[in-house]
Amino acid sequence: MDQMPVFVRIHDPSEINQLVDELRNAIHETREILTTIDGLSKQEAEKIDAWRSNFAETRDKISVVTNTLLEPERI
Amino acid sequence: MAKKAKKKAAPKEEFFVAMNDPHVTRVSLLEARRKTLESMRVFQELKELRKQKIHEKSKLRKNLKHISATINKIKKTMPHINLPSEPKPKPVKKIVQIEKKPATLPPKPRSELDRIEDGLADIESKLAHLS
Repeated sequence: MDQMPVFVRIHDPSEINQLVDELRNAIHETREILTTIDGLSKQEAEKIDAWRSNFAETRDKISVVTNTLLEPERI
Repeated sequence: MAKKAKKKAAPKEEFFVAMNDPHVTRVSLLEARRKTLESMRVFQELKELRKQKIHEKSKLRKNLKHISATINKIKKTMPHINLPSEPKPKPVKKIVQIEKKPATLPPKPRSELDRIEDGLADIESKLAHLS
C-alpha cells in the first residue's frame, strides 16, 4: 500500500493550540535554564581555577616561612 | 597541688632561630594569610554558585516533567488511529548458545532513568514501525 494522507478530525482545536503553546513556552524556558546552568558551570570552573592558584601561592609563601624558621641553614 | 606540679616540671629547652631578613618572613606570612582569606571568599562564592545550580536543576526537572505531561495531554487529545502496517519480512533466526545462569538475582527497584529509557524505547519502536 502506498503512503496515503491521513485526515484526523480534531474535536477541540483551541485546546490543542493551547497545549502546543504551553509546550512551546516550556521548551523555550528549558532552553533558557540550560543556558543559565551552562553559565554557572563555567563560573564554577573559573572559581575552582582561582582557588587552585590561590592555594599554590599560599603553599609557596608558607614554605618560605617554614624554611626560615625550621631550616635556616637552607637560606 | 597544680602549682607544685608546675614547679616540679623540668624547664623547657629554649631554642632560638636567627632570622636574617625578618621583613621577608613577615611579608610572606601576611601574603599567605591574604591568600587564605581570598580562598575562603572564593569558597563561599563557589557554595553560592552550587546552590544556584541546584535550584536551576530542580527548575529544569520540573520543566521537563511539565513538557512530558503536556506531550501526553496532546497525545490523549488526538484521536487514536490504528494504521494498517505492512508485513515485514521475518528475520532469519540465528542459533545462539545461551549460557545458563547459576541463580536468578532479585529484581532491582526501577529508577526514574529506567522508566525514561523504557519510554524512549517505546517511542523508538513506534517510530520504526511508522517508517
